[in-house]
Amino acid sequence: MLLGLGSIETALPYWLCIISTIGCVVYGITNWNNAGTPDNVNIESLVQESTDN
Amino acid sequence: MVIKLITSLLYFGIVFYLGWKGWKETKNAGDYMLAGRSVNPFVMAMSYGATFISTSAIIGFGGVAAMFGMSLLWLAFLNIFVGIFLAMVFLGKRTRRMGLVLNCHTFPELLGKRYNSKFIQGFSGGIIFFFIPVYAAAVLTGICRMTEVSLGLPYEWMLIGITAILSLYVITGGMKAVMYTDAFQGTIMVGMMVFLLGYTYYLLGGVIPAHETLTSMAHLVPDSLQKGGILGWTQGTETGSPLWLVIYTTIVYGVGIGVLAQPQLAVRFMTVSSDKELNRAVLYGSVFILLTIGVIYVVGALSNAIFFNQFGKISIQMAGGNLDKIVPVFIEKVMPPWFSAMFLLAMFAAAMSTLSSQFHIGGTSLAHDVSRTIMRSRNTLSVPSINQLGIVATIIATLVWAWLLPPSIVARATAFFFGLSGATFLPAYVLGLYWKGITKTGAKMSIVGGFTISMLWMLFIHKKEAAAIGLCQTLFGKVTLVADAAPGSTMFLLQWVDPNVVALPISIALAVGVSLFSRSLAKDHIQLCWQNCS
Repeated sequence: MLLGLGSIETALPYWLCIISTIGCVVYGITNWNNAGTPDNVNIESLVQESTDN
Repeated sequence: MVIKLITSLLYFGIVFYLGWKGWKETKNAGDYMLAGRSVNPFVMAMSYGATFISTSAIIGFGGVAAMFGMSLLWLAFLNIFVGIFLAMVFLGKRTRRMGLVLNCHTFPELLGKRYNSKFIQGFSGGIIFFFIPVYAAAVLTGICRMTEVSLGLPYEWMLIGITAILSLYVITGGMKAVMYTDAFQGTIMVGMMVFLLGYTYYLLGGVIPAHETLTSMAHLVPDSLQKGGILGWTQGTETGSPLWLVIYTTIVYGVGIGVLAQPQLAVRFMTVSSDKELNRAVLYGSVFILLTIGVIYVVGALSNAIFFNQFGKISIQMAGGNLDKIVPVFIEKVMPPWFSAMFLLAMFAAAMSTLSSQFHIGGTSLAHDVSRTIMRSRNTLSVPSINQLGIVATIIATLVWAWLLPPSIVARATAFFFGLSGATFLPAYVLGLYWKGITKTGAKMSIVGGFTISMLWMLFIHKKEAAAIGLCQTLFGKVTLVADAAPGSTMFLLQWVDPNVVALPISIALAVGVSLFSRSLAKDHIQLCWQNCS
């Protein structure tokens, strides 16, 4: 479990880096098309406003 | 040399094409500041990561890992979990939604409009404009030193040359040019770092044998580091020792937590069109951080084992005592010759992606947030022109700092800016997204208080900055106010405690405490802010 490292103080973050990345990949895949509740603001109108500035 | 030249030409050719593409697609202020709010999730995640990870992180912290060892992996873990997952899922989505409904284009504008305060927008923009050039200067000096070692080109030439190239596409192409080039540069960085890790483990006979070799070298840790508390490169540090405090308060706490309130990163959440893009960006972003930051900390520490096997010296000895030269020397002496050319490009990519975003955020902060707050009347210049002038001012300020900064400050300036941002913006930003009860006065007190305490701590208590700036020495005749406390006492050890350990809790307390006793924002305004939040 220590992978040849000299203490848990260094082995733990080594594993945590890998595990947290795997967790993020799984999150990304499972929520790939989850856009949440649709926006109730029209981006087009904001773009128009920016152009008018 | 021929390989270096061809790859460099190819690299700059692609960068210019992407900069040109960004310029062609930029039609209005929304495009210039937020890339039209419709960026692809891969581009957004790579841009976020490449902005986040600069040469300071790779060369500076790689050198720090070679000195302090693998304890630094805590920072890589925080960068993935806090800097990517928590940031995108819990802050990113809400920043995007609130930024959209309030029609914000910059991070200070988000804070200003959330609290209905021109002061907050102007003050936050002012801090960013004043301090981002210091961080940018550290990044710029990092890449120029690397080129000095690798190509033998004069430092000053590189300073001017790199700034000129960046200026061209950041000033003309705005956020689109910045993000397109970032994504390309981020991809190069990942490719190079993966090879670097694989080759390093290969040279040491595999993952576990490599770690075991380094573990067996604990007795070779320099005396000064052992006295400071380092037990070995894989053995960690003695709890409560000065170097334990440096690693866990400055680097892990300051940089790991401080990343949440980085204006140049937070603004990227507003460049995508829905939550879906942020979900996908979590995937790309985490892999990017693991393969860049995670890799360099491991390789930095393992460089001791390789140098010792091949040259009989540890890393810091090989680099002549300058920790910023450890990674460049490792690449030149240990890696195959073709790789040093490619790695140099990856470092160019890392530096340029961070610098372009720094110039952009500094410029838009000055133009959009500070100047508009000071000069309330409309002036005759168009919005893109004002932003372009702001970027020019940021670039000049960066060059001035780059000439003034002392040589070994690369890793510190990054920690300095991340720490300062954390104490100043984090409570007002996070509570502003999630707590309807935070008031305008609470937010103002938190921002001004966090900034003031953080600065005072750096000027009078925290030894690294206090000694470099020298104000405490001039006023009180000693390096820090606690320099004459009994060695080893709590007061004495305060000199190694990061400003954020003190300033961030005070900033949080001010935000919450003052909000409980001050006038709430109008209900209509709160309703507007939350209108698009689920």
